[in-house]
Amino acid sequence: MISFAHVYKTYSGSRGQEIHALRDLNVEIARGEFVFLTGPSGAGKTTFFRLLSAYDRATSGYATVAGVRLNELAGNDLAFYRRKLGVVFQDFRLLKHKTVLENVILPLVIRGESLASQRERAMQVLEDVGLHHKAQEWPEQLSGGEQQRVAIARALIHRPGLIIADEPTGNLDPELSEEIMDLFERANAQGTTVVVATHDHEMVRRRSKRTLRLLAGQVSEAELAKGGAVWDHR
Amino acid sequence: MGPSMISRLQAMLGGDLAHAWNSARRQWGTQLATFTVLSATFAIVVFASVWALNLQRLVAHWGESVQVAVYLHDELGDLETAKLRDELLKDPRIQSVEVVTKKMAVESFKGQMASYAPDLLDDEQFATPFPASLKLRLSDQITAQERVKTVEGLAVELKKLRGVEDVSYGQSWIKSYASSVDLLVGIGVFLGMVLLAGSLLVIGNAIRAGLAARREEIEIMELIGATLDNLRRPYLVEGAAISFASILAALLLNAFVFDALLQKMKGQLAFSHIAMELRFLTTVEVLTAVGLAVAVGCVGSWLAIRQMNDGWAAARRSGGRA
Repeated sequence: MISFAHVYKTYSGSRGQEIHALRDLNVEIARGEFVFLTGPSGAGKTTFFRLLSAYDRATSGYATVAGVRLNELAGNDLAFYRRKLGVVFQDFRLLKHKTVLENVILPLVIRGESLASQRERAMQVLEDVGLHHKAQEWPEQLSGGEQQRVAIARALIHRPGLIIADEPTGNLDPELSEEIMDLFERANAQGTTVVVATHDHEMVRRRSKRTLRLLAGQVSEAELAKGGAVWDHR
Repeated sequence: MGPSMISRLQAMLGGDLAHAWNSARRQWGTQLATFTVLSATFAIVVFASVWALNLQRLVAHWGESVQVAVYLHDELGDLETAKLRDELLKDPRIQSVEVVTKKMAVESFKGQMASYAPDLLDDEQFATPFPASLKLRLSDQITAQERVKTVEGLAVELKKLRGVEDVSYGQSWIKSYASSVDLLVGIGVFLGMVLLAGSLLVIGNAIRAGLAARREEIEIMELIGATLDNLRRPYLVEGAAISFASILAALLLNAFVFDALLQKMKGQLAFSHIAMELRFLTTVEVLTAVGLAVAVGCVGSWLAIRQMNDGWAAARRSGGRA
């Protein structure tokens, strides 16, 4: 499903020096897997997600998702690739001037789905995340956990093959974090590949899922020796 | 077109119009200013167009009544006159030629003057025979707009013919009037172009302000798979919508002003029947004005949204580092 081979992402520093956000990164994630991505701030998690969502391009190396070479995407192909993803952010990224329902149906709107179909699917997915009764409310009227559930509903509405979530529980208390993770697990149980970046080591330990640890732009050597699947107990 | 396609189109257009309406609500200050400036600009252009069309219509109307008189040399005999008449009848611009002999000219003059100044007819000076002439009527195929110019050209050619003393087309003042109208229309077209170019900038700036305010929204839309068309189309519709609203306001304003001026002219210039010839825009002209305004709106928007490209919003973010 996801294959990163010798991927580098290099930025120029303020004094012209090269800064490697990702350094010879090699990652394989199979279809239907649930993977946690951990590591300290600045380790390269967000860069990894930016490459995965084709928001940025690798400086060198090969990054493919479901056979699609991300470095070669351009124009509408880029947009059509992103339509196969569900993206969830730490800060929810909801449009505050749109209602919960309007936020959730956005992926269907850009596909030009009929109004009836948009609404039917949105109510169904809102019910899945337990927010169908708040469809007409504004994001600012919701709690943090509810806003994140709306963001997840938006990521799930078009039944993506891959969900990537960058610190989705970073702003939430432990109880809400568990609820959010339950939603991801439910999506995963239906066949969706899920990659979640998190700092919450306790939750990672409890969930017993495959975990990749990024450190200075690389999956750490010691953990690679265990076959790429690592457990982070810090 | 199947029901599914119609349903998709409805969803798409509905979404774009909702976007335009939301813009109007969220940035009502900018939108109101844009609407006001555009309405004023369009109102000036429509006003100039209405009066230019009416001035041209008056030229055409007066041109219809133009008569051409070809005055002949005294020595030209009946045979040569008949020959000249036959020659002129071959010209496709001329429908008929009436020969007015010297005697007929005098009789006609006397008949016209009898009621005004009967004493004048006894004056020896007026007994002097008038020259014989040919009265020409232009072909009906020549449009009213072309008549004045046709007459001018014909007069020049006729003067060169043998046996022709002079050519007169009565309302020769129409020539200068038509030239003035042409000049005014030319100036109007130039100013109209300048104003429309200004409109493009006004619309473009409004859309640019909208883009800046919605940068985050655009970025999110990009992330969930919006194509460039998805992103650009709502702004094109927004530009078209604001132009549409502005041209409607401009047309309504002009209709009221035109009606008021027409009523005033009917009262003050009743004798000249000018007011009878004036009219507001026809349905086709109104639709053309609306179409042009909407096109201006789309072009103005396009100038602003050209800057969007793949990852446009993302490119503006200074972050992105892990």
